[in-house]
Amino acid sequence: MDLSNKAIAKEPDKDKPIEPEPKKNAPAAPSTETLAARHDIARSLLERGARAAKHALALDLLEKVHEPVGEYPYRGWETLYREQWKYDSFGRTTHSINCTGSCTWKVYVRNNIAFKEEQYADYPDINPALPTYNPRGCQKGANYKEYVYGPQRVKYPLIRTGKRGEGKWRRASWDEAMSYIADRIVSAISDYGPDTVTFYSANPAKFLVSYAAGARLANLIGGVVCSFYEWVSDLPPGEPMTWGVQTDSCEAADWFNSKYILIWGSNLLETRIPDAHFVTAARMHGTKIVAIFPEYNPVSIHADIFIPVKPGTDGALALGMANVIVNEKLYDENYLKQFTDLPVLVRIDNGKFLRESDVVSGGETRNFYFRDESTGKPQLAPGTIGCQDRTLELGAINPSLEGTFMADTLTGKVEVTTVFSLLKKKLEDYDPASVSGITGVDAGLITLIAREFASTKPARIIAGAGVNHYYHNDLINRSMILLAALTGNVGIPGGGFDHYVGQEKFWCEEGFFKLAYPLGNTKQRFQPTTLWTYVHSNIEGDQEGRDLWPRPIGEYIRESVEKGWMPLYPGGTLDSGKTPRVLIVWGANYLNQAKGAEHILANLWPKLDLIVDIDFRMNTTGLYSDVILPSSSMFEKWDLSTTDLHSYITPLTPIIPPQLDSRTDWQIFLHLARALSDTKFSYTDTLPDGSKISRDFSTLENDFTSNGTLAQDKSAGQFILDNSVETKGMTMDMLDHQPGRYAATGEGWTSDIKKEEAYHAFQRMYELKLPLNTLTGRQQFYIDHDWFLREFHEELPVYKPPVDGTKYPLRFLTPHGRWSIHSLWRDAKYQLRLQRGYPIVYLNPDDAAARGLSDNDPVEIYNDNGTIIANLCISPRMPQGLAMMYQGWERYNFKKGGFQSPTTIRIKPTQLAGNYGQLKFKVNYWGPTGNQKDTRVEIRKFMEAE
Amino acid sequence: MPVKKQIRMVADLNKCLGCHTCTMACKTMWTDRNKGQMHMYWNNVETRPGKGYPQDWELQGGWFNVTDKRSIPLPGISESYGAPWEYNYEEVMKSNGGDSRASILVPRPRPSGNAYASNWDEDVGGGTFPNSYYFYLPRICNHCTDPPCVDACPRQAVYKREEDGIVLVDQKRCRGYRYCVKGCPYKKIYYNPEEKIAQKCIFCYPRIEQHKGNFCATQCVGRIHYVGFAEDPESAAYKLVNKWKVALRLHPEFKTEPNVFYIPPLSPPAYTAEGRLTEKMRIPIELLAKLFGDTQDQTPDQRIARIEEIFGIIQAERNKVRSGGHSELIDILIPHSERDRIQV
Amino acid sequence: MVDNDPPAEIMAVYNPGTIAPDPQDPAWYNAPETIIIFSRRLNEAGARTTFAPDENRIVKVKAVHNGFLIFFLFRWDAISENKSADDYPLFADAFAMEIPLFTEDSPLWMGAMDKPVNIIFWRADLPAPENIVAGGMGTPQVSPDAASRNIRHYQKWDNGTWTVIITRPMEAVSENQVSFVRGKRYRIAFANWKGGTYAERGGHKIVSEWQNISIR
Repeated sequence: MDLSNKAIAKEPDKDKPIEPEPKKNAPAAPSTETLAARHDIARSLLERGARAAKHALALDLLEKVHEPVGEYPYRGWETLYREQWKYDSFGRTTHSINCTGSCTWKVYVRNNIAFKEEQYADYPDINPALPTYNPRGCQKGANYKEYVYGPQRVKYPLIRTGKRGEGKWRRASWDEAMSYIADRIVSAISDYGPDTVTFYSANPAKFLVSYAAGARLANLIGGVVCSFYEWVSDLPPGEPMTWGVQTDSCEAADWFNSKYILIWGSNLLETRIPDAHFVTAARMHGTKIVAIFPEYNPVSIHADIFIPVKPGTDGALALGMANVIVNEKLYDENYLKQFTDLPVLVRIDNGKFLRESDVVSGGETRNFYFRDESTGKPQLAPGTIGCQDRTLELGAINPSLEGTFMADTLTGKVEVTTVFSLLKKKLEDYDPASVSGITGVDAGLITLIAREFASTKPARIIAGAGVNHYYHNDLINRSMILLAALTGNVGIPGGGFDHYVGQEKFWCEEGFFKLAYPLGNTKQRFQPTTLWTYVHSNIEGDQEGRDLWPRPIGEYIRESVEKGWMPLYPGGTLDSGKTPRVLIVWGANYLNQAKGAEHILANLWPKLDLIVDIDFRMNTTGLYSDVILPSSSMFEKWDLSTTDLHSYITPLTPIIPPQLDSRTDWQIFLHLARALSDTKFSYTDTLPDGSKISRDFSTLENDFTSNGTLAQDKSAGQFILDNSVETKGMTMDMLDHQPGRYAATGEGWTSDIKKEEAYHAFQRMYELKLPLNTLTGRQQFYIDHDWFLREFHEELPVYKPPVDGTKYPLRFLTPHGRWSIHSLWRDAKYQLRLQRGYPIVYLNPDDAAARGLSDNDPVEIYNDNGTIIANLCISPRMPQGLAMMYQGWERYNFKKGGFQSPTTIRIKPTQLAGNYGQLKFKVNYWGPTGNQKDTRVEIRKFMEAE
Repeated sequence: MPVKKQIRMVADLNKCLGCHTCTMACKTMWTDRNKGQMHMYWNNVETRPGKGYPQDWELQGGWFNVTDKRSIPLPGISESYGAPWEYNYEEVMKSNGGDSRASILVPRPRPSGNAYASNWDEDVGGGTFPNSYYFYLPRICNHCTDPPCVDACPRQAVYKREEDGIVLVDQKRCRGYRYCVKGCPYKKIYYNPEEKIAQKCIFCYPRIEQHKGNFCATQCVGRIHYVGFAEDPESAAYKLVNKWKVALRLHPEFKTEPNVFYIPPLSPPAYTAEGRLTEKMRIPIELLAKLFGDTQDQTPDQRIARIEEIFGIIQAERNKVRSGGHSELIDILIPHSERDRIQV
Repeated sequence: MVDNDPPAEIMAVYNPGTIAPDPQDPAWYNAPETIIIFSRRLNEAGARTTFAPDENRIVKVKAVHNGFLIFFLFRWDAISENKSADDYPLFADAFAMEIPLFTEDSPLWMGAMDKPVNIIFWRADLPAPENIVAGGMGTPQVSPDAASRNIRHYQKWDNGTWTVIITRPMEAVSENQVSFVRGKRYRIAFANWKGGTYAERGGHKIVSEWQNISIR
């Protein structure tokens, strides 16, 4: 510890995080031996009265340089830079940040200081025909050392002494901080119940052990663990709706296998820097790249076609393409019959699927029918949820894709049709000319890309936050997935709909869940965070939001909660006004990143008796919390990181000891478990399912370490490896030597992992004919849930425009950018110096001129939700009517507000639905998204008050 | 005397991500040691069109391309390179505990007025939406065959190594006169105001000597860099420059014979006023021809013809591979591993 | 032009006891002041013109010693004070004195390979004057021996005048310095650089002819 303290203490000059050796004033001279020899010669010559100047000590420098090209005589100084590139040792780690990079890095150490980071670049090849993952990283990962030694680092536990956010702190010992927290947790549980103690972290994939640490404690004491994936709106709701999966996307190497790629609202060149080369390489390989974005951006510059689409109209564009594909019969008919619900029969009288229970007395409600082309009779579709036989093999059935038929039911003959027929009718609204009017894309171009997409196999849509952070993200997803399915691309290498933003499921889930939830997932209170934040921050749907649905949003929430579709903690919130009491945040920046930030500060924050922030750096959540605990940096701990962008497990290892008074997350939660053990508190917990657990805190430390076997971070990591099918047989030390590729896939994945093949999704469906976890067992485009049918008319994908009205003229987009991973690196000066140094908002030149604004002007960005002050950047890459600010700036980057100040939370009721096949709450799988792109603002020049 | 071997680098602009990993790879190795280096980016990436780094460097001239050497300006740090801002971390973060005002993290000096930074123009570009255009241009010292900085130094403290052609400033003999800064038309020699001497890209010679690539090349995530010796016909860099002839020099009219080459960027086609897609690439070819060429005496028309020829070669080879054929050029442009890009 | 003027005779007077590197020190009262005219201009390639073709500069020189340390006091008119080299276009005011190292007949322009010179170089932005040895144009080099970092100084710009004092032990500490021996006479020349934006540095300067200095 001393050593490391010195490492930081030695840094009064912030520009010298490292100073491995003296520089100019002690230049690397010739060896002392040579010097002494020369000196002697010089002296003897002088003594003999020789006046030959060349022999005096300094004078051997006095040789005229005759030819500096190729014949320079004074090259001894070159040791200077050779010395600079000397190191004592190196180690392996990655950066557990929410970027999906999971890049293995080599960190060079000299004099106990980690001074240089370089990609390790030793991921084993998948296949010599594919580009490799080496070197994998980005400019942020190249300078994480700035945080390890920087002034942003939290140095020791701090307890608030002033008001929240006032910035007054006192240093506390670990023991004091831990008993402070433990006492308040026990009070909250005994006074208000365990479901008032809430745990929030960003994402297990980036740090399996660190995430498991907090979740494990929550699981043992009865606390609530919050979701993240739909809260940050990264969940593509269309995937659970259509495919019954949270998300399944190919690893980046499979992009290279595509022949045609629509890169649609996924700014890979900025947000997937380590992977983007697979796209640029594919392009050189002949793949046609079509970039679809509202603004001209780094992906567009390397595209074969750039398609400027009006923001938020992507769903219409997809349906316009579907219109062309269906009308021109460019779809893959056999594929549709086998792998989609398009041939499934629907009753015309009530819009519901024709169910076995409609037809046969005692029939399954979850079995459905095709019409067999050869017999003209209804035939049960294989592979539905109600079906015993788990296969999509059609056997002798040849389902009719189109038509209207009569079917016998228990209540008489009813008219039925196919989903395809209904879809075809629905698509009539989306002819290219109409869609051109909505999207601003030329009708001929819509037709062209529809034809090309349908006729070039494998074809892929790469989608991301640009299309997923809208209120109607579910409709947009479903429309895009429809394109991939119509053309028979889902399930084949190089094809499909692949979504990249955030991280959801992860490799080694099985081992992780065992570590994180020792009492079992079913005994864990999980909370969809959008709902929790919305309710406890007293957010009310804004006017436009309320007009969208037949009933007020509150009624949908109440119905969903009361029917048990969505949990809402603490129990009884909607009736008794009960509120959460304790919030523990680790490895995340909840307050800064939350939509509706102003409401949270005003309404949720005062309800909390204790807010704890655990981080290696001081972020906005930390500044507004009660206790801050310093965690170890990513150079200082064992952990594991995974990503859906590649198929290797990547370790973090301790390259230097924990600096200052920091500790690893695992050790912090272990310490908290010990402090809770010391309280000897015990209680009987009644879980929402009615079961009871007796919780005795006096054994908590032992329970946490599983009687000492998991006392170390490394053993916790090994536990995950041992208990996961992906990594069985691997050890932490083996990974330190070289990251390994997974051996198999767990349940969250839809494909096997195969040697020499890049992972791609839905291979088990396509190759093995295994049904999906949807009601119909296949890709399901028709949702006959009552809400969808009766209240929202979204049983099929339709286009609905963004919901933010017209009060403010400029759409406000806050996409992910290249210079930060959310709030990380927003305060890092080496990154900031390569930007404009503070937050900027991009605007089209005409929009700026109309407002009398010049480049770099300070401006106010405002609407009814809040105001931000930032500086203007005028660029013709922006279309008119669009204001864009790359997200993640900390509140303390702004003179006023935070980047989420103009946003609110708008819950789309369809995303509260449940009790329907694939639509049922599972944490991070299904729940309302915290979308934010349906936001409009106005911008005006900011006048300094002074 | 000509050097025995000459190091060369080719940057494929069709694969540049604009991610600045090269910049950071260089910065964290060589120029984060003292305050005087903070404004320096031996490797930088600039958005084109744009004013570049230092601001408007192309307009400033160098030893061989202006008639009056005295007129060459010396760019100032704040207004041309960009002030390396410091931030009031302690005041804002209170990460030591204690009691201070809540405040805002601000760069000092605050970029106002004629503010500038090395990447100030990032993603701004040119054109009119939807026909906006831009591309990224990574730049290091060109380690020119005819280095004007060597010529400019009255002390002859700038030299070119015989074994690899790397151009260096002797850190012991330099007296900080800054004639080399004036001499270089690419403005790739920097002045360290703390050490009061000139410093520049060293092509990571301590690594080249170990037969490893320079960091900007090896750490490049876009895999755009090819490094090899001009005399090695087996190197990818040689094949791109000499065999396939798809790589051009940046501003060869500066008469220095740069040894960094660029594959010029394709761009998606422009739209008509009615929103119809054309077949014409959106980056005006005249703009590219102002930047890139083979030799110092080419006419603008010859440069345009060469760029069109290169685009034709790349597209033809792409199509060949697309329809199942094999192409040596495409194999080079899709390097499988570092070994395929770097032969030193 | 004053090319044909005879060399000035500078007198380094003996003043026993402590002398402070301060223009107010009483030791200077007894030292005669010599006026040196700088008239040799060198315009380096690429340097902006900073002096008029017929510009001369005048520097007033005094010298004293106490048998152990020698002190040189220089005053010259300077409209502005330029003591920063903190940005690319900025150059600091500078002054140098040059003495032949071994031979009396070293060429004025930084000596020659076989006739090197010892230079003490003061620049307004440096922490201390430098001890330099040169053997021709482009060769000046700060001597690498630590011992020769034995030069202290005083500098002040006030109301249009630079006052610079340079002091050094009289006895050379290494082969890279000239020893000042009582009773001997040395050739000495001076150079001046006017700093500022795009200003004088290196060979771009104004230099005096060889003068003489006698150590009393």
